[in-house]
Amino acid sequence: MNYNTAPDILLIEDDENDAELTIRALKKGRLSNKLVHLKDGADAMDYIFATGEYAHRDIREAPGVILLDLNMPKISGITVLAKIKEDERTKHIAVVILTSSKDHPDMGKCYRLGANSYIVKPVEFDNFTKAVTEIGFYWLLLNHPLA
Amino acid sequence: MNQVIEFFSKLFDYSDWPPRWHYGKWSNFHGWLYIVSDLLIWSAYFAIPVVIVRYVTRKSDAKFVRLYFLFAAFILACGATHFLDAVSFWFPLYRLNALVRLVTGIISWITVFQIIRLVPLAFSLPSQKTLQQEIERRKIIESELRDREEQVETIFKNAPDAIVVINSKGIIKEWNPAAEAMFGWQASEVLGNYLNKFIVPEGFWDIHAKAMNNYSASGDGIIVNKPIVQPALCKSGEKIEVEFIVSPVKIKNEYLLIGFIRDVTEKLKAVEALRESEERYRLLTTEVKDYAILMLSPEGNISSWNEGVQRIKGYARDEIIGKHFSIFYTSNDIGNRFPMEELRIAKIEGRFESEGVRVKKDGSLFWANVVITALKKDGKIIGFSKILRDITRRKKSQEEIHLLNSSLKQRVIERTEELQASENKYRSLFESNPMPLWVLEMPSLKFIDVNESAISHYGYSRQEFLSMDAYQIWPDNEKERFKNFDRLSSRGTLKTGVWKHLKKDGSIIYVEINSHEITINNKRARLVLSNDITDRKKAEERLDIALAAGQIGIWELDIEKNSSVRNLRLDQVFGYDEPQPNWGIKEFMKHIYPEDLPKVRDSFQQAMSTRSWAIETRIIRKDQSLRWISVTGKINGEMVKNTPLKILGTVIDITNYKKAEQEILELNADLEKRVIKRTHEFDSANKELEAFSYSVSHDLRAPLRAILGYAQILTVEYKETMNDEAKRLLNRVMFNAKKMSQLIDDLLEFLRLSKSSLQKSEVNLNKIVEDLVTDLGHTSKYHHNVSIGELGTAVADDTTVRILFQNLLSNAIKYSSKKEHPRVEVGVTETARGTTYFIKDNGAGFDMTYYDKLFGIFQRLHRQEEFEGTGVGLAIVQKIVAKHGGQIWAESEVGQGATFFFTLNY
Repeated sequence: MNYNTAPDILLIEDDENDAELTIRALKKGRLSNKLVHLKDGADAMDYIFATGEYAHRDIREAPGVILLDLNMPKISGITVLAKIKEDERTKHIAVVILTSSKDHPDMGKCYRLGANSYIVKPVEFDNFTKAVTEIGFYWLLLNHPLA
Repeated sequence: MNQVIEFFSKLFDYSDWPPRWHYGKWSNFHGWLYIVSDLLIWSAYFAIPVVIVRYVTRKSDAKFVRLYFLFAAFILACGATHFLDAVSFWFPLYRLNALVRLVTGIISWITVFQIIRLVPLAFSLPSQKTLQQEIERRKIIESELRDREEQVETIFKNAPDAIVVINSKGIIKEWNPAAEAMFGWQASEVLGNYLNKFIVPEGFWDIHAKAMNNYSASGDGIIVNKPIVQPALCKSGEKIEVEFIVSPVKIKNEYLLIGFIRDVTEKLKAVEALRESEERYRLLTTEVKDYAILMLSPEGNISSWNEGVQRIKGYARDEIIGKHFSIFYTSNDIGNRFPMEELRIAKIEGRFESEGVRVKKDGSLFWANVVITALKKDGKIIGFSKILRDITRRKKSQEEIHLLNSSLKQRVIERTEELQASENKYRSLFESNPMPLWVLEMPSLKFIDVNESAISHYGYSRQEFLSMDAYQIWPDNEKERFKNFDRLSSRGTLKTGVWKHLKKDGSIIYVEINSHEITINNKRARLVLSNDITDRKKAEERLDIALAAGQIGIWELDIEKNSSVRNLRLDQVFGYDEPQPNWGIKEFMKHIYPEDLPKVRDSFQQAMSTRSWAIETRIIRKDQSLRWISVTGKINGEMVKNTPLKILGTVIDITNYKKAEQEILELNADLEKRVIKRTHEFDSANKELEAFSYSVSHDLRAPLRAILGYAQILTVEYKETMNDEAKRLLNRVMFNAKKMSQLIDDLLEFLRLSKSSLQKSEVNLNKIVEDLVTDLGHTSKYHHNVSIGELGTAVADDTTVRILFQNLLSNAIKYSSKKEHPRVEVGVTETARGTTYFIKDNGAGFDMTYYDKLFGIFQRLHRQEEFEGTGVGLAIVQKIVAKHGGQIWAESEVGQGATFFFTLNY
């Protein structure tokens, strides 16, 4: 496994504001070293499964944790999650769902599909930073013990 | 043999011999003597059998008939030989003669044998003489018997005693004239009947029957041959005393009893009279002490006395002998010369009797009955006897009777007064009776009396009434009915009926009439009571009109008779314009639409036990049209063997309702379809709304997060470069962004509640409230002065009830937070709406004017600066209560706090 090419965190988020604020939060928690940000589901699929634009990638170079937004145009977060969790090669990847509400109708489905955790995106930035940092760190540690 | 044949063939041939005249030497005389003699013999011998045969055939009891006939044949045959002898002087039929002689010989011998056989028998018969003697003897006996019978008959008929013969069964066999005279019953009336029926008094039947039984069993009895005195009955009903002797006789195996009866009534009376007379005499002699008997000289001096004088008057013998009898009189009487006057009357009339007051020796007075009798000898007065009896007691009782009489008189007077009072009472009962009353003379029906009520009710004056007859108060159209009715029941005593009467003002009233036949001064009259039932009748008519207006058929069915009483409308419902003569359950069932018949039958059967019947069914009317009717019935009155006697009910034609109902049903079906369609629409709308709400929550939050996020970065990272105004403005931006975020959260919560379903269980309300208060103590920036009552448990959805209490509690805490001593109370109470929970605070309260906005979403009654909030909390609260089927309401006054009440239905 190439340590340098495999990202620690793959952020899949279409909203620019949320993406910037998330990245900023992760940076604050010093988790942004190897962060890849993809802006829609299709892109994310290509990246994860090393297809299309990302065909040159080695599928085995999996991210430590995927932060997945549910509400995305084209291919939704749920589809991405399903694909990841039904593929033997990718299903071990920790997926943390980013959602604007815990009451999101797809939340139950996410758990059934094998989502590892979720983060409700709070309106207040402080809380958000805290949550993202804690969860991101946790899953990173769990999946990729820092060598 | 040839000779025999020749003999018979020439039987009537006389050519072989010369006639007798020419045979021998016959003189004419000799010849004719012979001929005539033979003819005489023959005629005699011919006559004899004729006589015998006649005799035998006529005499039915003749004996030896065969012998008579044999004898007749024998004589006839002998005669025939003599005839043929005479004929042979001209026609010598010797062959026939020989044959006839043979026949004669044979018959003669048969007769001989017959005689030999019968002679002993003939000799055994009594001779005529013996018979004659016997007859004579019998005649004598018979004559004697007849004499005796006559004697008996005469005795029987003329006996002074009644002679009655009965058989052992008590049936009368003989009844003589004396019996007829004694008892009044004729022999023809009593013969062959039981004796008991006539003369034996009922009280003696048993004894009589016993004696008869005893007698017929033993042939003897205590009554036999003994004189017995006993009462007997006569035809007239009179009871007489009879003495009788019963003698039994046995005639032809039958025991008869002959009774000799004598009327001893007079004898007994005489004996009784004698006895009484003796008794009287005895009394006279022994009880003479009750009388004072004195002998007076012609001048009135006492010459002799008896014990009675001393007993009654108290004088001893020596004290009064020689004294003048006036010493017994009061001085007053003596002054009036009564004593001498009495003697004078006695002297003239022979006897003087008086009652008066006399004086005893001790001077006391007593009432005496005095009889003075003049004693005469040879027409001269030699003295007087005076018999005196103390009659004080009698006098007293007479006085008592007198007193009684006068008291009776008094009572009669009183009774008469009472009667008058009673009459007055009845009079006033009549007069002041609130019901019109009158008396009609019968049969003219003229008014002879009438009371005030009748006068005021009918409007006629008394004079008018008394000049009228009853027909005049009947309207013309009722007169005929009244006449007929009255004729039918003219002898009835009590009659009731409903009639129309005519008042003087011409108005018609309905009256119920009761009348009574009475007798006044031996004349027939009728007391009539009239009860005005016009109002009732009108009410009935109104009911009829109401029933007619409602087109309601009413019926009362007599199940047993399968007949009914009903109004015309009922028949009309079934399509008949005229009332049907017969209408019962059978006729009703005949009109039911065949398909509905089982259902109707079942329901009727069921009604027998439930006592009430209600069914809707189709019927086929007379004109074959199909209609819907509604039938109701109620069992009226008694049940006999679980079967009611009568059912009362209604019938209404509900065809139009049914049509309307059908339309409604169709409409409903249509509506249902539309509802389903709408529900589908609603469901999809709901889903859209759901999708919308989450996209809202997501899409509205994203920019808010961005605003807040970037603002925060500004405040943190450009803290040094911003002046205070810039910082303030940035804070306002953040505050409003947060506010909007809260709004979105609340809105989402509300939407979530709207579509979630309740999971009810028994929840401990106290625990919920206590948990919440504890949590609020940790999280709330306000006070937590909350007192909790005993709330108990409720069947409710735990999660939402928690939210409910949380909202109300935090509201109460929030709005009371500015008070110096904030207080919140949670409790439960009973109201008209049931178990009611309440949360009461002493906070700011609200203006009841805006109460209608209180539970509306996004509605707030306070400004944000006063109390922050989104205006969704109470909308959520109301939603939760409504989902539990309860109610929520509130009471408040500005500045005085607010109380929220709610109920949970389960």
